[in-house]
Amino acid sequence: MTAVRRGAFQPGGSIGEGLQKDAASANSFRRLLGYLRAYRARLVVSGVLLVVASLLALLGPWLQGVAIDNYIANRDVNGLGRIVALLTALYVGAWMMSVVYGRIVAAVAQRVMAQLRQDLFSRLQSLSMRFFDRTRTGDLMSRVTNDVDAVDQLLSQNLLNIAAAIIQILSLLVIMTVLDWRLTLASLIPIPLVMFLVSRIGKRSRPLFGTYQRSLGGLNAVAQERLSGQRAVIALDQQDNARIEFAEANESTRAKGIRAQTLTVLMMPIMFGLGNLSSVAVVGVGAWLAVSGDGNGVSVGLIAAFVTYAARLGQPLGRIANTVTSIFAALAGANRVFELLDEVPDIVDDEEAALLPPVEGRVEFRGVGFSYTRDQPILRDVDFVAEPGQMIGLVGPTGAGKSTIINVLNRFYDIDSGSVTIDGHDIRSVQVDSLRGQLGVVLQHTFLFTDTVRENIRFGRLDAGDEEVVAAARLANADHFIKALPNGYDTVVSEGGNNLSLGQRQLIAIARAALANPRLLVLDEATSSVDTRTERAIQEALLALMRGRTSFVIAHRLSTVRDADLILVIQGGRITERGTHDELLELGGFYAQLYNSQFRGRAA
Amino acid sequence: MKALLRIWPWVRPYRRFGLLAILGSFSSVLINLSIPLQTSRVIDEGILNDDPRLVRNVVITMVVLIIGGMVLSAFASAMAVQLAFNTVTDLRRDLYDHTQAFSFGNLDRLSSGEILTRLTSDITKVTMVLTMGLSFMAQTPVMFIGALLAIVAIDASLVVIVILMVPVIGIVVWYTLARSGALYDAVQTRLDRLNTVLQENIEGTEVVKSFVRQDHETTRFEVVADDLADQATIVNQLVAALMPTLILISSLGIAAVVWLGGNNVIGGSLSEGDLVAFISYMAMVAMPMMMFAFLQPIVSAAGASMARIEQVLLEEPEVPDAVHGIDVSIQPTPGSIEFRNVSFRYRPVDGAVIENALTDVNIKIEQGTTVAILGATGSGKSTLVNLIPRFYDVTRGVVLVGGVDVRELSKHSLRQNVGIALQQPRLFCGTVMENLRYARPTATDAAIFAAARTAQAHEFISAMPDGYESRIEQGGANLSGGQRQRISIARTLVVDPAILILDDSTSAVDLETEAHIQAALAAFTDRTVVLVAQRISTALGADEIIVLDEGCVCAHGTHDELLATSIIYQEIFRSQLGEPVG
Repeated sequence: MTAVRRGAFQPGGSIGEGLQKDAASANSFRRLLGYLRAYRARLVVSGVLLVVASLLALLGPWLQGVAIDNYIANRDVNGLGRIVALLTALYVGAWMMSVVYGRIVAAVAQRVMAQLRQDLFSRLQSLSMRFFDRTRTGDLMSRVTNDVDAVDQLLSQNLLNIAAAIIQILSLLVIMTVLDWRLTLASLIPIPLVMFLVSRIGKRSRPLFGTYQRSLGGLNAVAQERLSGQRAVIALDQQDNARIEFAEANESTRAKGIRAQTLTVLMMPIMFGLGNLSSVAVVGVGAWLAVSGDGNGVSVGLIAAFVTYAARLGQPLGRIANTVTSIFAALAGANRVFELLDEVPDIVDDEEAALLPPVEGRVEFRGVGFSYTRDQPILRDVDFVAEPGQMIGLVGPTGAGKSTIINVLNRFYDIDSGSVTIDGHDIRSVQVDSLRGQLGVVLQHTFLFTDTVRENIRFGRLDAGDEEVVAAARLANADHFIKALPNGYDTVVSEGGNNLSLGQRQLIAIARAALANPRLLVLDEATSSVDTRTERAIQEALLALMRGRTSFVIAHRLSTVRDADLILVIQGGRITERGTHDELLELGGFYAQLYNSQFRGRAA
Repeated sequence: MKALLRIWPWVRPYRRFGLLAILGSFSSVLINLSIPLQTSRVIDEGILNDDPRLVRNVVITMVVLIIGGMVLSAFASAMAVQLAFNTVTDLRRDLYDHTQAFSFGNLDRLSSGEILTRLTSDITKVTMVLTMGLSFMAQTPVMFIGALLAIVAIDASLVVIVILMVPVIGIVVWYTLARSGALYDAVQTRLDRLNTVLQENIEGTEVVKSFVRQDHETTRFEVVADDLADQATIVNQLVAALMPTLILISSLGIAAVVWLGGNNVIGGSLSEGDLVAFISYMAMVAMPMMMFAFLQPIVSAAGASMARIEQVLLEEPEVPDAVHGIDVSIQPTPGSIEFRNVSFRYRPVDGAVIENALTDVNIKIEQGTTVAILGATGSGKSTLVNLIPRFYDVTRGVVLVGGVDVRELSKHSLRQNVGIALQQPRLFCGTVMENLRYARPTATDAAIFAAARTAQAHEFISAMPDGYESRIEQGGANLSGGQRQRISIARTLVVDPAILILDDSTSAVDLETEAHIQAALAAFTDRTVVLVAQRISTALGADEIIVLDEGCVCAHGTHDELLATSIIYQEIFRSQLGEPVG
C-alpha cells in the first residue's frame, strides 16, 4: 500500500514526458481554476472590464481614421473637436477600467497563492516521518516558494494576458473586417510565416530549457549540500575542492543557458517584425487598391487606421508567443504543487479513533517488529511491559534500535508486526494527537526555533505564563545560564548559534518538555552534551516531576540509567537482557561488561 | 539602481558582446524609424499621385528593411544573452569562491540559506535584467530621440505635445519607481520570514509532532503567508497601474495630435500623409516608456538582488590567510600546542554586551600527549579547541601550533596538520566511501579501512547492505547518531593529522566502543590528541586533564592530582560515577 502511495510523489520533481505530463498539466490547470472559484464574482467583473477596456482601446484608431477622413478632409473643425473629445473620454475610460482590472487581478492572484501555500503547509503537517526522511528540505521549500511563484506567473500574468491577447486579436479582426475585409486579409499575410518560425523555436527551446533547468538544479544541489555543511568543509580544509566542484557545476550551466535563452529571445524581434510587416502589407495592398481605378473605397484615413491596427496585431501575438514557454514552466510548477498536496499521509487516524484518555502509563510492547526499509529489519520481536510510574532504561550499542523504540511509541512510524498499547489502548486505535500530547519527548537531535529562549520553552505549553516558563527552566537547570545571556530570556536563538553551546540547547529542550508536564516522559540521549554535574541535578528534578509517571531513558552513561526499575539491553533490534542494574550485573552479560569497562576505566 | 551598476567589473570581460548588442539594436531601431517615413511617401506620393510603380518600389524597400531590422535585432538579442550568461556565471563563481574564504565567525552571521538564495534567485534576477534590459536600454534612447527628430522635421509646432508629455511620464515613472523599490524590499523581507518558518517547521518536524503543535505552526504560517500576500498585493497593484497610465498619457498625446495636427491640415500647413506618419512617431515616442513600465519591476528587483549579492561579497573573511604563511609541517614539533594569555569574545549581535568566552587561558600541550578538556556546559570547551585550527582568531593573546603563532602559518598547512571531528557531525550525500575520502581524495582504500577500523566504524559499515558503497541519506538520516560520529572521526583520521581534536565527538557512542576508539588511537604515539569530554571515563586515559570553568582554566593535572586538589573535578567525578569518592 505505502509503496504505491510513495510513487505518487517524486522528490526532485523530474518532469515526466509525453502524454502523462500533458494530462497532469491539464489536471493541474483544472484544479487551479478550482482555487479561483471563490473569487468568481470579482473575476467576472475584471473579465468584463478587460473586454470593455480592450474594445475601447481598439475604437481609438478607428476614430482617428474617421477624424482624418470625415472631418480633417472636410475641414470641419467643430466635428474634429467633438471626435477628439470623444477619443479623450474613451481613453480615460479604458485607463480607469484597466487600473481597476489590474488591481483586482493582483489581489486575487496573491490570495490564491497564500491559499495554496497554506494548504501545502497544512498538508506537510499531516505527513509522517517517513515522508520527511526521503524528501529533501530544499525540494519541499522550493515547492512552497518557487513553484507557487510560478503559479502566480500563470495567474496574474500569463493566463489573463493570453485571454486579453485573444480578445484583442478577435476584436481587432472584427473591427478590421467591418472596416475593410481586403486590408484585413492583407494584414494577415505575414502570419503563417511567423507562426511557422515561432512553433519551430518553441519546439526546439523546450528541451533546451529542460536541460538548462536540470543543470541549474544540479548546481543548487551542490551549493546547498556544501554550504549547509560549510563548517565541516572548513574543518576538513576542503574549500579549494569545494570551489572546483562548484566551478564545474557552474561552468556546465553557461553554454546550456546561452543556448536555451538565445532561442527564446529571438521571439521578440520576430514578433516586432510581424507588426511591421503587417503594416507594410496593409500599406502596399491599400495603396494598390487606392491607385487602381476609382480607389475601391480605400481612403488615406482607412489606411492610417489599418496601419495602427496592424501594428497592434503584432503586440498580442507577441505576448502569446512569449508566454507560451513560461506557461509550460508555470504548469510544471503547478504539477509539483499538486503532487505534494496529493501526498497521502502514511499515518492517519482511523475514522472511529477515540481520544486517548489521560493515561496511568502502562506501556506494553508485544512482539513488535519494524523496519525503515523492507530488507533491513530494525526491531525484531520486541516484548516488554512498563508498569505505571516505572523508569525504563534502554541500553545498547549505537544503531541497535533504541531510538526506534521511541519513534514507534510516539507513532512517528507504524510498526510492521505486533502491537504497542498504553493502558490497554492500541496506539493505532487512538487519535495520534491525543497520544503524542501525553508523551513528553526530548530527542537526541536538539531542535530550537529562531525565536527567543522564552518562546522556545513556551512551545512545550502555549498557554504557560512567564513564571511557569522560568520554573521549567529552573527545573532543567537552565535558568542560571539563561539569565547570563545578553538579553536573558529574550535572547534570540540563532541558526549560527554561537550564543548557545550544544549542552545549553539540550537544557532548553528539557525545560520545554518539562513545561509540557506530560504523562509519560522519554529522554533520548537528552543530556549527552551536558556535563555530568548538571545532568545529575536535572535528573533529580525530572525524577521528582515524573514520580508516579512512566519514563523511558536512553543513555550511554550508565550512571544515568542505573536507578531504573527495568533496564532493557537492545542489541541488533532485539532485547537481549532485561532486569534491574543489580540483576544485570549478576547476569554477567553485555550490561555487566559495559559497566565493568567503565569501572576498569576508573581504576586505570 | 545604483547597486546594479556595480556589476560592471563582471561585465567588463564581455563588453564586446555588449557593444555588438548595442550596435545591433541601434541599427535595427534606425531602420524601424524609417518605416513611417516610407508610409508617408506611399500615401502622399503614391496614392495621392496615383503612382503604382512608386508604391511597389517603396513597399519592396520596406519589406527588405524590416527583414534586415529583424535580423539585426535578433543578432543584438543573441549578443545580449552571451553577455548576460557569461557575466552571471562568472559572478556566481566569484560569489561562491568568496564564501569559501569565510570562517566560522562569518558563518555565524550569514546563514547557509541566505548565501544560497543569493547564489540562485538573486543571480537569476540579475540575469533577467542583463538579458532583457540591454537591448531595451540601447533601443529606447535612440528610438525616443529619432522619433522626436522626425516629429520636429514633420511639424515643429506639434513638438509642444511631446514636451508636455515627457515630464508627466517622468513623474509617473519616478513615483512608481521610488515607491515600489521600498515595497519590493518589504516583500523580500516577508518572503525571508516565510522561508524561515517553513524551513524550521520541516527541520523541526519531530519536535512539532512530539508536542502536537501542527495547528500552532499552521496558524503561524498563515500569518506570515497572509502578510506576504498583503505586501505583494500592494506593490503589484501599484505596478499594475503603471502600464495603463502610460498608455493613457500617450493616447492623450495622440488625441492632441489629431486635434492640433488636424487643425494644421485644415489650415494647410500639414499634409494628410504626414499626419499619419506623425501618429506613428507618437507611438514610437511612447514606446520607450512602455518598455520601461515593462522593465521597471525587473530592474527594481534586480537592483535589490545585486545589493544582496554585494552584501555577501563585501563580507570580510574574518580569518585572513597569512601573506607568506609558514608551513607548520616542517616545524620540529608540529604537534605541539600552546595558548598564551588567550582571551576570546564572540562578535556581539545587534550591539548586545557579550562576556568573554575565554579569559586569560594559558595551556601548553607537548607533541604526542593526550589532553582532555572537561568543564560545565557553556564553560568554553568548544570555543577553546576552535581556536587551534583558527576557526576564530583570538581577541587577545596568542595560540601557537608547532611553536608558531597560528596567524603566521599558512591556513592550508595548519588545517592539514590539525584534524578536528566537530561536535555535530555533518556527513554529505554520497556513499560512505566518498564521505571517508572527502578530506583526502587521494587516500588509498587501505588507508580508509584503517581509519574506519580505528574509529570502530569498519564493522557496522561492512554490515550495511552495500558496505562502503552504501549511500548516506540527507544529513545521514539512515545512520544512528553514534554511527554518524564514528564516520566523522574516521573521515578526520584519513588525513593522518599531527594533532587530532575530538570535540565531544563520541557523545552518542556507547562507552565500550568509545573505549575501543581510545585504545586504537593510543597506538599512534606521535599524535597529539585533544579530547573535549563530558564523561570522566573519556578523560581518564589522558596524560593531562584541563578543567574549564566559565572560560578560565581552573585546574589541570593528571586524574589523581586533580582528584586530590580540585574541588570542581571531585564534584564532576562524583556526579559521574554516582558514588562517593573513596
